[in-house]
Amino acid sequence: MNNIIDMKKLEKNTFLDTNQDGFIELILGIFYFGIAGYIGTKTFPILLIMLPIFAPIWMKLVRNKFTYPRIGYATPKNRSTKTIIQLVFSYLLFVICFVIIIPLLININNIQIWDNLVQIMLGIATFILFAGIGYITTSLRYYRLSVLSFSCLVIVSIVEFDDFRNSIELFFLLMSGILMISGIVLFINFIKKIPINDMEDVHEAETKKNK
Amino acid sequence: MRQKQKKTNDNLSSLQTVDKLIHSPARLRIMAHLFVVENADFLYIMRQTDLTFGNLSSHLNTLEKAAYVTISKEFIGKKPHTLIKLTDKGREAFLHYKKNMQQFFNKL
Repeated sequence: MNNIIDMKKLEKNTFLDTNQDGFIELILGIFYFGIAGYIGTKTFPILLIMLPIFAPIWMKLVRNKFTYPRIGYATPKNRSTKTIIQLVFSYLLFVICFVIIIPLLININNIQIWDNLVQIMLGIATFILFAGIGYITTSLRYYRLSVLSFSCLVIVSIVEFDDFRNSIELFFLLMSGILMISGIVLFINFIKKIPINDMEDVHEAETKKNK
Repeated sequence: MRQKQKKTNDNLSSLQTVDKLIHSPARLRIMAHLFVVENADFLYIMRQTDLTFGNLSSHLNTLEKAAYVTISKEFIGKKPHTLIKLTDKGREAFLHYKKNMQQFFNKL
């Protein structure tokens, strides 16, 4: 029976179908941009990091307008939502600890090894994040992003910087650029490909008219 | 030879216990899609199952009568919005159907 109706595949397809609008990429792109901005300026872009944290609220508003009238709405199972939230928060916590909290607590600038270590750790973490999502959802789109994050890591490692913070900033900028562009492209394609379906609206009006 | 035929007959008779309400291809698709989510709206199920508006409405009514799904209507702004949810009874029935079919195909 599992071969006739593959429930796991169906669950994965549901996730992919409800997230084909590119918002996941956009949120991650904004988050990375906020991190890069914080490292570069140490001022307001920290607010951008807050955007992904409040994502469920503003994403629902935007999706109500653009996504749900096109593809409909499905609430994922509580179990899947919990797993995704746990994964995303663990990752966000890891990045925030690594980039903001640890350097603030320890004057680690003097340790030269930190210079290379921080890039590699962040590169690997990002690679694992996308490869993990790719593995769970069996979507090629996330595998591509994991390869891109690895490429960004290589680029950042090749370029020589005076301060290790600049290399991290470049890494996050490259990643945020790629993610935001792919998010926007996915969103435009989604809007173009799938028209608004107001069949239920029309049917309701017809039923009222017939009554 | 007779034993073999008896075994085949036994296998086929196990099909009689299969829930015919779910066994219909369209309703099976609806139930399977609702099984993997908490709830979904009409448009989502219509897109996933490739059923027409009238067809889906009719199958959902059948499933609602059997208390396998609950259908709630609400308005978002001025637009009607139909939310469909698989009930506990529906979930159990689907799992039972799945188990029955699995057993049947394993015996074949």
